[in-house]
Amino acid sequence: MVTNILYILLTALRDRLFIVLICAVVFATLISGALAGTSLVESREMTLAFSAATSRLILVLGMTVFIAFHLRYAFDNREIEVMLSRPFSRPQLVFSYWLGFSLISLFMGSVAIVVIYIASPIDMLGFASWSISLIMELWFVSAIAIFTSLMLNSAVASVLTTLAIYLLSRMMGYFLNMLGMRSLFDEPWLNVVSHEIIEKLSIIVPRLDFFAKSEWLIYGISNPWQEIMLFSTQAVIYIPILILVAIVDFYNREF
Amino acid sequence: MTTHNRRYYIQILLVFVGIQVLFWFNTNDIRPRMTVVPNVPGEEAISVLSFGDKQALFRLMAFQLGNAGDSFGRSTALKKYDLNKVKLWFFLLDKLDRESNLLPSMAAYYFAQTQNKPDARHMVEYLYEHAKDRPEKKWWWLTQASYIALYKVGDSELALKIAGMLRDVEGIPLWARQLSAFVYEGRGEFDAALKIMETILENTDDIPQHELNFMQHFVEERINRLDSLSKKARKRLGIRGLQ
Repeated sequence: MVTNILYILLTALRDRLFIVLICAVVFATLISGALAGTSLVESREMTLAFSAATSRLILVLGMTVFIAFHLRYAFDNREIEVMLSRPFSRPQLVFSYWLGFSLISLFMGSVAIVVIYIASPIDMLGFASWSISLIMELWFVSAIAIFTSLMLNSAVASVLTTLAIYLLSRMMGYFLNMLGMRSLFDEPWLNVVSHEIIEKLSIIVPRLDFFAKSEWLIYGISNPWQEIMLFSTQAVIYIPILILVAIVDFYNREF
Repeated sequence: MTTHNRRYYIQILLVFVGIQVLFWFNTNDIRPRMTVVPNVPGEEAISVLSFGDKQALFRLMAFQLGNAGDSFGRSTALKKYDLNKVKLWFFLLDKLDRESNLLPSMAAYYFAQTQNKPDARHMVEYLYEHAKDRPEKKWWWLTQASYIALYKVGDSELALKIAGMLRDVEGIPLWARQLSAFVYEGRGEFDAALKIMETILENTDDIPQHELNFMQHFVEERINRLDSLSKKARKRLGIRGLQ
């Protein structure tokens, strides 16, 4: 397992993932600062909000693409078959992949955290909460990407599916909000059906809108323990679900 | 590929390049229609577009609004802005972040400077709505709204209505609480102005001496109502008797 983890880190180094993502995050923050400098007031707040949001997106995209193509490459070159030919079970393989990618996420997330720290967050408790939730969000995305990459036969499909799940998870809170507000369609039966679908979907779609809120960096976190419990609990429940589903699906795969 | 085939494909390529050039001649004057202030989306659309990060969307939308009309090398005079639309944008973005002073700053210091003075009323309406239910925190924007209403829009009734909200608010500078007195003074309604000063003198503890000096100067020399000042207020100013 350790060998696989080290191999993943080496691949990341070989693909210059660290350099590229670090440069992207730093560049995004510099651009955010430049744009925020044109603001009438509150340029520091604007820098923080832009930088936090773009860094998060860059890291999510970067990790998704890296994981999808890494696993596709491993399948195409039969590396996975070689690994499975050794005394290395399928669950161990899946878990080692998640650990390896999570280590990379931890490192990249830490870089983003340092960059945001240099941009001077206004509230330190909010900054700490944002930092922890960013790391957890990246672990989450890694798990989603592993699941889709093991399930699908195309790297592009894996990337698109991961991003679709990510976006849906980010927006789920608002879909639930809209349910209670007003009818979406003119036809009553369509409203009933759509309400049911969204409600049932919300059971299985994770709530990524609990994670990494930029407002924490600026205004602090209003109910610290509640917010922290929300994202921590979601991560602790759902990451194992994703890994377990990936393991179950991987058992069905024939080589 | 033989030379003959290659030449054939080059000829077809040149035909298409020629068609593209003709196409360009007919279309190069067709330009996108650049609006000054974009149309205001719905609240739900904004909520969905935030992808769970309302603050980032708020800052992005505010940035776009602040640069509206000045993109792609343009520079648009404020009088050409539809300030009613800007006001609606502000109301919408306030739903994303009510605490920030970015939008009130844009309203008071930028958009309210429109050359079309009656239009500034929209900014007054926004500042009023933004601040009316928390004057102790957003009192500055109420003073700005009152000022703009009085000197830009020329509506002293509106200025008075807004300034009057600050009279009894604790914890804000005295001049902000006295604002309605200045508006009354401007309207020539000295008795009403006196009433404001009296109320503040009678109901406020810990007024610094320089503020007391100013209030005496205002009552005595600006509105010439020292004789009408109440006993309690006179005592507060340290005035022993009429001279």
